[in-house]
Formats: sequence, structure tokens, C-alpha cells
Amino acid sequence: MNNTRESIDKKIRINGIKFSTELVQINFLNRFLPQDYMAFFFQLLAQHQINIPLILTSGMGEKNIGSCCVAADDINRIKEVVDEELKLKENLDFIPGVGTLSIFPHHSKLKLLGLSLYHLGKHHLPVYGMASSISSLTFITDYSQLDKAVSILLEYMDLPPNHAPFRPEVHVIQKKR
Amino acid sequence: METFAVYWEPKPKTYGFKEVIDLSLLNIEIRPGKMSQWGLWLMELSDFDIGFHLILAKYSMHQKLQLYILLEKLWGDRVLSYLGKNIDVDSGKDFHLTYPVELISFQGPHFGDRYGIADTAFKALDGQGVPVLITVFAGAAVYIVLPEKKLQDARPLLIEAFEVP
Repeated sequence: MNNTRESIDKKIRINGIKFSTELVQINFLNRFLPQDYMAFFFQLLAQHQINIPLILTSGMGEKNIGSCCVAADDINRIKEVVDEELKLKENLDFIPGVGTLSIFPHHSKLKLLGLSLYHLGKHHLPVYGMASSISSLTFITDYSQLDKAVSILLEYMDLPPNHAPFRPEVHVIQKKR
Repeated sequence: METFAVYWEPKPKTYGFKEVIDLSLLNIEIRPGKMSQWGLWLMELSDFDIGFHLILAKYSMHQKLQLYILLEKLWGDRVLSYLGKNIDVDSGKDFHLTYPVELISFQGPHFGDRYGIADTAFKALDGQGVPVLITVFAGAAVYIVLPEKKLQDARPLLIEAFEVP
């Protein structure tokens, strides 16, 4: 425990922090929803050329079988797309105004995860989801709280000199000709 | 400034598939107000230098968070033993381990910016008798965790749907 206390207080070195743009989280409830409805939802969005930057699913008997995040700019189109699919629509739960915070690298070790959960939890910041990717650990929280989350975490994490958390300025959009 | 690039591919290209078998999937239920405590326990576990293959946490009902950590089998047993010793009875048994499970993962150019990647993956596996335990599509990477011996069924279906170098 003493080691852990020292670990909490000692800053860990990271290489970067990246914010997303504003997103909406969509949760798939399994009240009456077979799992293939989730695949149907992804098919509908693909047909309408709507990207889903983050998807987390699990089919292990939970009430919420999956979540995804979509750009806030796309949400009205998505609502139109699912409007005619009554069963699907009834089983979607929307959390507006979320954003992601990606910290890298995680080095495939639990320390960054533990430290982040400890401090975000201690400051009562909501975490709606989380995923690791090749080198980063991404947390979903309130978009309006991203700056606060970063300032809390940077008390315990060191960015390289002249580095600052960055928001993407280049947006890649795929469209069919 | 907008830049347009025209690109066409019959199937989404990947940089190749990575497969790992004989893994343990730890599932932890983090109840409201317990996130910080779990952060501490995970930090203590990090002292054992435990490595993970994948992390996923999903919002659950009643403000709970379902956290999954995909580990090598030898770490799975160690984590379970640590948690069994350290978690007090009052907080209940909020974790369990699924073993063995298998992982197939791949990446592709701009996967996180393109529509249709999840549709392609789910369509490949849907209705083919391949149960999927968890999936993560994050950034340019796709991770699919399967029950034991299902990787051999999933592999050809995914290779058919995606281009593998």
C-alpha cells in the first residue's frame, strides 16, 4: 500500500493527450433487443455514410449490450435514420454532450488506467466508457468537463516539454462519389 | 481549406491480423462511488508489472461501469488471487474471470474516420455461428474477443470481408 501511495504522488511520464470534438454516446439496451439489432444499427449508419469513431460492445448478459460515440453534428441524421425502426429506437439511450480524452502511451500496463480512474473518481468526474487502442487509453466523459479532467490528470502526469493537450484541427470525412 | 482525395477499394484494407489465444477476460463491476477505490487496486496490481491486451469499460445501468481487462492467463490467476484477498466482503464479489478466450485484432488506414468498418466486421460474423464476447473499435484499431476455439471460425470470415496483405 505504501508503494501505491508513492505511485499516486509520483508523476508518470506520458507523450500526449488528445481531445475529441463534441460527441453523443448511444447505448444499446437489451430490454427486448436481440444482439443482431446492434449490427442492424451499424448497417443503417453505414448506408447513410455516418461514421462511428468509437464502439464498445459486450454480449455477456448485461442490460446495456454496447455503446458507441458519434459526432454531435450527425445526431439529427441518426435520429431520422432510426425513426422508422421502432424496436431499435425504443432500445437506444442517448447521452448528449460527451467527449473523449485519449492519453498515450499506455505501454499495456495497468498503471495509467489505475491512476486515471483513481483521480477521475476522486473528483467525481463521470466516466461513461473507456477503451484501449494501439497505444492510447481513451475515456468518455462530459464534453464540458474535458479541460477540468485534463488539469486534474496533469497534476499526476508529465507531458514532454512544449507539449500541450491538443484538439484535432484536421477532419477526415469519407464520402461516396 | 478543404482537400479532396479520391480513393477506391473493393474491400477495406488492413495492415494484417494479429491473433492471440489462451487469454483471460477479467470483468469488474464498478459501482457508483467505487471508481477511485478500483483505481487504487489497479495501481497496486500494476506493481506486479501486469500487461494487458485490451481494456474496455462500458456504461451500465444505475451508473455502474462494466470494466473488462484482457490478460495473459498467468496474470488472470494472479489478479484473481489478489482481488480475492483484498476485497472486503461488504463490497460484494464484483468481479469474475472468463477463461480461455481468444483475440483477433487488426488496423487499417483511417479506420476511425471512415463509415462502414463496424458494419463490414459485424456483417462478416453475423449469422455464422461465431459468438462474440466483446468488441472495441477505437481509433484505427479493431479488437474482437471470442470464446475458446472460435478464432479458427472467425478468421476466414474476416479475411473474406477485409483485405489482408
